Amino acid sequence: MRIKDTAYIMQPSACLTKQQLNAYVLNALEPEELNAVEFHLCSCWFCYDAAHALKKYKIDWSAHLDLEKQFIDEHQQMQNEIKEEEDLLVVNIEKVDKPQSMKTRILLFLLLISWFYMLYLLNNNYHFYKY
Amino acid sequence: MALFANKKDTEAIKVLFDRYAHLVFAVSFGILEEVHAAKLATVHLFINIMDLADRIAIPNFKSWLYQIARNHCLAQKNIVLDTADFLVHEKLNNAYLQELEIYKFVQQYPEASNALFQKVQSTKDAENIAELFYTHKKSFKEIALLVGNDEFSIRTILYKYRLHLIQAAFEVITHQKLDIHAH
Repeated sequence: MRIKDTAYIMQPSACLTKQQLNAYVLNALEPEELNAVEFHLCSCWFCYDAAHALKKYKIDWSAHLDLEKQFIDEHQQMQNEIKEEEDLLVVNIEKVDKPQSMKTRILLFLLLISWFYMLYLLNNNYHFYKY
Repeated sequence: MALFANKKDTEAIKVLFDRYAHLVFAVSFGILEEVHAAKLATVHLFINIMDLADRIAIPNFKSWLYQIARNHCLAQKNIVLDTADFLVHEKLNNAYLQELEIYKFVQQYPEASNALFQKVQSTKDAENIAELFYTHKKSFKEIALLVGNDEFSIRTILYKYRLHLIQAAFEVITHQKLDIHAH
């Protein structure tokens, strides 16, 4: 047996699928498949850790292991949030820009009037001192 | 991962998610001990991976993912990472590359295979367990019942046996390569 076994022991194997992981935790694998799963567990820390963690609680994990929907939802939600933030930024910039320009216009107008008024006063004073 | 980084191929991330998400969830659950937190950690990890895809080069995705999943969950639990934790990915990656090299070598030179087993430094118990598992195709549970040990220590013994075999194989490979070059 020993001559052939090194190649057998060293042969690469794929990580456990959701179904395999769940069935292994529930002890529901056929002997052949169980051997293949355990063969992989001997070389893979990732799968071993995963199986070890779930085996503590012998419940049906299939519902929890189906994470794709949650990932897509979360990803969509994140993208929506980013879009909303970007839209808000654009709206804010637009909103902030308009009142600022109006304010500056009003301020400039007031400044101009005040300058005219000052000039008027100075002119009056000048006349006052003159006479 | 490379497909996603280069072409922004979302299908590639879906494939990776399909292949590893349940494992990441289980590892996270093992550390966080809460289903909802483990699910969130898994989903966030894959979203972060999408950001990281075009920034870093990853030679072995599986061991890298295992490492960051563990680190992410340990950090969430405020467990200070040991220096050994940072080396997990490197160790696993090296072991994986070594295994591949040995597998190719043994396929190329089947006559060297016998020499490997003579060089393996392991106990008789480990050899018996390896024989029960690899030759007689017994399960961990059956071996545990036969030997009087628990299932996971059987796996640890088999893992260590493989490591010894890898070490022995490397010695043989280097000798063999030297011999080939000498001839």
